[in-house]
Amino acid sequence: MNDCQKTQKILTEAVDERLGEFDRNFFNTHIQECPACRNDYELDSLTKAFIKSKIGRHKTPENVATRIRQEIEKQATSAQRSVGFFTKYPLARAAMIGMLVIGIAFILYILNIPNFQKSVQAADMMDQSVENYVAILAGAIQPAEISQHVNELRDYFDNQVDFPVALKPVADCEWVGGVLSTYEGLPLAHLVYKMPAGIIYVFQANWNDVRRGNKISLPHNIVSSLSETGWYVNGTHEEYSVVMWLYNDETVCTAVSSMEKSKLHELFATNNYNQW
Amino acid sequence: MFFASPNIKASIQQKHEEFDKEAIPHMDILYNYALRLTGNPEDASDLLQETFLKAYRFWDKFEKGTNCRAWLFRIMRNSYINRYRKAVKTPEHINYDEIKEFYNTIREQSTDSNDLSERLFGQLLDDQVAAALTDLPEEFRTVVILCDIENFTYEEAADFVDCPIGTIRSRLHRGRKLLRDRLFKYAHERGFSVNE
Repeated sequence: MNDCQKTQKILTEAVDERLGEFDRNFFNTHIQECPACRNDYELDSLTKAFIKSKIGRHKTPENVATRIRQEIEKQATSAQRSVGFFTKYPLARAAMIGMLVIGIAFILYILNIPNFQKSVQAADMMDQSVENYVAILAGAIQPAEISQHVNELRDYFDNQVDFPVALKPVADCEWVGGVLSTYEGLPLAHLVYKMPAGIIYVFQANWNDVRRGNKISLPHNIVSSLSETGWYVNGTHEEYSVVMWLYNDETVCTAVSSMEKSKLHELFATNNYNQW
Repeated sequence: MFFASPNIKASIQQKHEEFDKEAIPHMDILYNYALRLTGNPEDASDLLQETFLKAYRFWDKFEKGTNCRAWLFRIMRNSYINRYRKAVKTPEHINYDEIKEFYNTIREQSTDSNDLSERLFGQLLDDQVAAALTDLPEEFRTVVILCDIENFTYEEAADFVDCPIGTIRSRLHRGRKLLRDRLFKYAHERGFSVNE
């Protein structure tokens, strides 16, 4: 590496005065001898100073701050009000308890105790993706919102989940459906792309939640692959293709389909919807 | 949940107080960030409100005692990505050498940094400067805002954005270059001619 290359490498830190003594001496010496590097350094410093001076610090407008506080008040008091109902009407509480007991018994009956116990442990996201895919094919899960353009589902998902929802357009798609759900309090997003030959199901969750793994989890090797490369395409499922990826480092996505795996990967690999 | 209503009421009250004490104080800094992301006060106010309401709804998920501002920042950034970011446009070709050539010329005439700054950027209006910043892709813009405007150290910015320090350094490097070329382009468009 020549002196100019080395100087360019440490240029940003020189502008921010972060260089140690040795590097600083090297830098100062070089820019005295090299007008090109000197100019680069000066240009960056001037830009930094200029933007700092021009972009002011604003206080939140008073009406905006007030409105936000009011909205939060509203949420807090409406939560309290719904609890108050049961203290005022104890019979209603008894009725709810009764219905709850019957409801739980019914659910237990349907789920079978062994399976119910399994679902109390952390659910594996990949297994769950395949289960959901099968359920969708069987018609057991229906989308709540359908559109021809995936972007139009944005409003449906807005504000409902604590991660950015990946809404990637897919070529040849006839329509896209979206549905929300929760598992153990975690919000989840689901997309179904109806293709000429079948469907693609995309399951999305908060990556931090999955990484932590106490309610929804993934095997360690998959978490590593996602963390290091942003992808996991090595899953070998007998009947379906499964690929996983990270969107914006905040969301973990799983796509399941009967189409060939490399094709599925390719459809979602061009992450040109969040790059410039 | 139906059996302990006085306790529930108390815990809702507690949540409200906690939120008021820990999250609300960051409103101004988040408003500024929203302004830089969206480029106008109306969208910024909407984004700010959406962020705080979402934060309140998911307050139980926030690990108390950790960096609240970083958590709010992340919510805001996600909301912005979901709602406000316009479709990706192909970057217009910017001649990166123009400003360097120009700087060569004026540098021969002056070494005073105030004079140089004036000649490079003095013609720009405030809203052009704001627009140049908003033109930057979000990941570069964020780092320039945090480090150059909000005085974050690289370490604080890395913690905020949740990435390695090397990423902060390279985004800042590229962000400043993109910004200065954008500023130069705006100045150029206003008929500020380059003396050959």
